[in-house]
Amino acid sequence: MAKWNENWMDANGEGLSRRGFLGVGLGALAGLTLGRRLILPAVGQVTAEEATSATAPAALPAARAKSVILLWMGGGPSHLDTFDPKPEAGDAYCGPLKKPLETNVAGIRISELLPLLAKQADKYSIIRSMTHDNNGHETATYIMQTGTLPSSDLSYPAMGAVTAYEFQTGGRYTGLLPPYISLTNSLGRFSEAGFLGPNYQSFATGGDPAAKEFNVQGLVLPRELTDQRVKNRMDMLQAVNTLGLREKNDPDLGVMNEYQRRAWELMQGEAPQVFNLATEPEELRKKYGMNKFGQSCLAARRLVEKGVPFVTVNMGGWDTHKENFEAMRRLLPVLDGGFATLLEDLAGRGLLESTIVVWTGEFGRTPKIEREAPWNGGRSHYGTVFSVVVAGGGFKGGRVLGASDEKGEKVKERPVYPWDLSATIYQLLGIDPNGKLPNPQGGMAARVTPALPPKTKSGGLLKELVA
Amino acid sequence: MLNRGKYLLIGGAAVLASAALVMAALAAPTTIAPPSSTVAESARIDELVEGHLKWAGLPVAGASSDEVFLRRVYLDVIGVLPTAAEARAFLGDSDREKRRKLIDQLLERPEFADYWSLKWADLLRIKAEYPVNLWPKGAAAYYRWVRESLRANKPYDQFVREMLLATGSDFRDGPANFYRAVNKKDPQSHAESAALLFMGVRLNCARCHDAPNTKWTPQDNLGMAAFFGQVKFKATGEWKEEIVYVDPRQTFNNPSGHKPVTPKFLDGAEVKLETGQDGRAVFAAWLTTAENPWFSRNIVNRVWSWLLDRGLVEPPDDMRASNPPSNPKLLDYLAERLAAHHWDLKQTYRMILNSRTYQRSSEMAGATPAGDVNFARYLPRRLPAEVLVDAMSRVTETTQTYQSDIPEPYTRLVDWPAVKVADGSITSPMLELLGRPARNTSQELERTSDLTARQTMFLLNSNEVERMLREGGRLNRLKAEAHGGTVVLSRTIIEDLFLASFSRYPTAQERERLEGLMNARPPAQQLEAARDLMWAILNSPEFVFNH
Repeated sequence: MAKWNENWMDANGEGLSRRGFLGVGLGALAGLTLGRRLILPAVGQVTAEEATSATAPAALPAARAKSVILLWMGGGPSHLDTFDPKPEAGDAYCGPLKKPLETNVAGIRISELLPLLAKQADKYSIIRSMTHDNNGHETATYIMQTGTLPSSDLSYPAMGAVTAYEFQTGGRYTGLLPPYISLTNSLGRFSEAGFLGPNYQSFATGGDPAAKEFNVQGLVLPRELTDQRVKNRMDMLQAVNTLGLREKNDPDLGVMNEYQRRAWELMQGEAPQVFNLATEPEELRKKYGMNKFGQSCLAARRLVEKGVPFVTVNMGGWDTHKENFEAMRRLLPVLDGGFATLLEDLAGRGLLESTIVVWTGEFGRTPKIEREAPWNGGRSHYGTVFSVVVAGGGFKGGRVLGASDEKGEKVKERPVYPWDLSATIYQLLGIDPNGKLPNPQGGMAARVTPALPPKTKSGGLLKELVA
Repeated sequence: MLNRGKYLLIGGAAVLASAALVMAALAAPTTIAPPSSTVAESARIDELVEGHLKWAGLPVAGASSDEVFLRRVYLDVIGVLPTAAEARAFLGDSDREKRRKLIDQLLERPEFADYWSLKWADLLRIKAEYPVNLWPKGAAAYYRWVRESLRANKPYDQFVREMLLATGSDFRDGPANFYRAVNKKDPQSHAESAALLFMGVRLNCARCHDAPNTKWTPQDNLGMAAFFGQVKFKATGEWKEEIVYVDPRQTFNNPSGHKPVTPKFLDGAEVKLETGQDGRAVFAAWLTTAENPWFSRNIVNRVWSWLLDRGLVEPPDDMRASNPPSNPKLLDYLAERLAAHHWDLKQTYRMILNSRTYQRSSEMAGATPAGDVNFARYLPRRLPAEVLVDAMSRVTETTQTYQSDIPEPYTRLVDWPAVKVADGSITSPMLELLGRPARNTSQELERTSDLTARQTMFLLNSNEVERMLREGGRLNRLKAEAHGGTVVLSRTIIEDLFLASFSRYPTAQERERLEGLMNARPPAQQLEAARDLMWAILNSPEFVFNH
C-alpha cells in the first residue's frame, strides 16, 4: 500500500508508528473516548473501573470459551419443523413433515429437511424446553438477546454487548476488529447496546458476503478508491482541516484526528483480508452455501479465528404466519448447509472447543397448524415452549435437554428460561453472571444478570450440558 | 431557507406537515419581551457566570467571530446549517444588532418547532416499538400534539398540565400517550415518569429500596404513585387502540401489602383526595407553580444544558441534594425569570442566546475542566445524529429515506429531513450509527455528543457517503459548467462549499492550497476533484462539530 498516510501523520505533528498503533486497534479505539463526559463523571456515578473492580471473579470457574457465534433466527422458527419433530401428533401438527431423520446420535431425531445437521448431532445439544411465554416479537427478542425480562426503567444490553464490554475492559480482547459484529444487519427490534451506549452497539457489516465483493461499511475500501484517489482525498482533508489542527489539544476535536489515523490503518491492514472470502477453497464455500446466511457463517468462522469475541449471524424469514411449509422448504436447506458446515469446519480446525455456537430465535411457533385462509397452513408466535441449539465452548454435544409434551405445546420436563441460558453462556466465557456493569442511572451498579422480579422462575444453570 | 417546499411535496406525512405549516402562517405572532428586558436579563446571566469564574480564578474565552456565531446559533436553535446565501447576507450586514435580530428570527422559524419536537420526542419516548410500544398511530398523534404545542409556544406550565391531565384515545388524543409511554403502565411508572420529566427527580431506584444518593424511600415512591392510582386503560374495536380514562372510585393500593396508600408530595405533605377528585389534578396544581422548588428549575436547567451542552446541574435530569448546581444563583435566576414571563420558554432561550456566555469562542488557550464546568468557553460538540445527516444531505444536495419495517403499518419517508422523523422506530442504519437515541428511557444521557471510532470510520468510508458524493446535486450541476476555465471553477466551488458547510469564506491560504490541488488534476478529473474536496469537508472536525 501507499505510504501517504505516514506523510499525513507527520503533518499532524505526531509520530504514531504503525507498530505502536497495531497494538491498540479498533477494539481499544471504542474504549478510547476522550470526551469530557468521561473525564467529568457526575457525583455518585459508577465508573467503568469501579464497576469492574466490584466483581468478584474468585468463585468463577475458569473460562472455557473465547468466542460466541449466535445464529439468530429472526421472526421465530417453528420448533416442530426443526429440532423437535412430532410426527406422532398427527397431520394437524406436523403437516407434510412426517418423517424426521435419525441423527448420528442414537435416539435423537430432527427435521427431515436438515440432513446435514443430522450428521453433526454429536457436536450439539438440543434444548427442547425453552420457555418465556411472550408472543411479541420485540419483547421476546429483548428477553432472548439480553437474558432479562423488561424492567420498569433500564434497557439491558444484549449478550453480545455485555461480552464486548467485559472482554475489552478486562483486557481479554485487544484486537483490531470490532468486538461485537453482526452479519450483516442489526436486529432492528431494540438497541443491542442497551445502557452500555453506542460504543458497544454491534458493528453491522452491511453488504452481502455471497456477492462478488463483500463491501463492509467502514472497513473495506470500495474497489474504485485507488491508493492515488485516497491520497488525493487526504491532501484535501489536510488543506481544509485547519480547525482540527488548531485545536489539536482540545480533547473533543483532537479525538477525531486520532480516530481517523487509526481507522485508515485498520482499513489497510487485516480487515480487508478477513472479509475476503475468495481466499477460501471454492468447495468449502459451496458447502456453506452460496447465499447470505451460508457465507455469513463462513465469515463468522474467520472472525472467530481472529479472536473476535461475539459474532451474530442474522437470518430472517421465520415469521411464517402464512404458508409455513413452503417457507420451510426454502429456509431449512439454507440453514442446514450453513449451520452444519460451520460446526464441521470449527471442529476440524480445533476451534469448536473455544467457540460457543447458539442457534435460536425469539420464540417458536404454534404447534397446531392454521389451515384456514388467509394463513393457508401457517404458524403463529409461540413463546410457551420452543427449541434452542447449543454447541462448543464447553457445551456437550449429542444431548437433548428437557422436553415438550406430545404435541409440542407445553414444557413437559426441565424448563429452561432465557436467563438460565445467558448465565451459562456468560459463565463459560468467564464472565461472572453476578458481576457488575456500569449503571448509567448512577448509584448502584447494574448486574450482568439483573435481579429479576420476585417469583421469576428459573431452571438453574445448564449444568447437564456443560462438559 | 431549507428546501421545505421540496420536502413537503413528497413523502407520506406531507399532508400533515403542510397543514401544520398553514396553521403556522395563520397564527398570531407570539409575544416577544421588549429587547431592553432581554438585554438586562442576558447581562445578569453573564454577571452571575463571570462572577463565579472570577471567584474561582478561572480565565474566560474571548467572543466568537460572526462566522462561528452564525453557524452555531443556526445549529443550536433550529438544527440546520445556514445556506451560503444566508451566510453571505449575515456576514455582510453591518448592523450592530444583527446577532440579536437573528436570534429573534430563528426562534420564530418553523424549523424551531421541528428541532425541539425532536428533543421532546426523545424525552417523551415517542416510539412505535420496544420498549414503550406506542404503535405508529399513537406515535404520530403524540408527535403532532408536541409539535403544535411548540409551534404555538404554548406556556410551559400548560404544556405539562395537558399531559398530566390527558384522557382519551391514544390514537386521537396526543397527550394521552403520556400514560402509555412507560415500560409498564402502572401508577408507580407514571409517578416516576412525571418526576423525571417535570422535576428532574429520579424516583425509580426508590421503588424497591431506600436510595441513599437521592434520599428517596419506597414510601416516597408510593406516595407519588397514589396520585396516579385512578388512571385506567381499556381497549376499543380498533387494533391496538387504547382509551386512557380516570376512574375516581379507584384508590392506589400498596402492591405488596394491598393497603390503600395516602397520596404524598415529594416535599412530604400528605393529601386526602375528596370523593370523585382526580388525583392527577391535585398533583398538577401542586407542581406547576412558581413556588414549586423543582418545576421551573428542572426546565431552565434542561434548556441551559441543551444550549451550553452541560447543565448547571449535570446530568440535567438528576436533581438531588448530593448533586448540587455548579452555579445555584444562576439556576434560581433563570427559574425566577421563567415564572415572571408566564412560562414563556422561548424567552428563556432568548436570554441565554443573547448572553456573552453563550456567544463565547470555543477556542481557548489553557481551557481546563473546571473552566468547562463553569462555562468559561463554548463547549464544542458533535452534531446530533439527525442534524449531522441533514447537514450532509444539504451540503451535498442529496436526499435520505427512512423507514420502519416493524410494526405495521410500515412507514417509508422519502426525501425527508432526519430532524422531522417523528417516530423512534422509523430510522436508517446511518442514523443509528451516528448515535440516534433508542428512546429506551426518558433520560437525557441517551443522546450523547461524543464522537465514536465507528462514526469516524463511517464518514471516511461508507457506501452512504459515497452515494452522497456521487449523486449530490451541487456537484453534478458543475458537470454542465465544467467546460469553463478551471481556475474560475475552483474558486466558485471552494467559496460556495465553505459558506454552505462552515458558514465562512476560505482563508487566502486555504484557497491557494485547494486551488493548487484542483489545478494539479487534469480537466477530465475536475468533477472527481470537487467530490474529493466535498469528502474532505464532510470529514473535517469543523464540519462534524458545532464549535
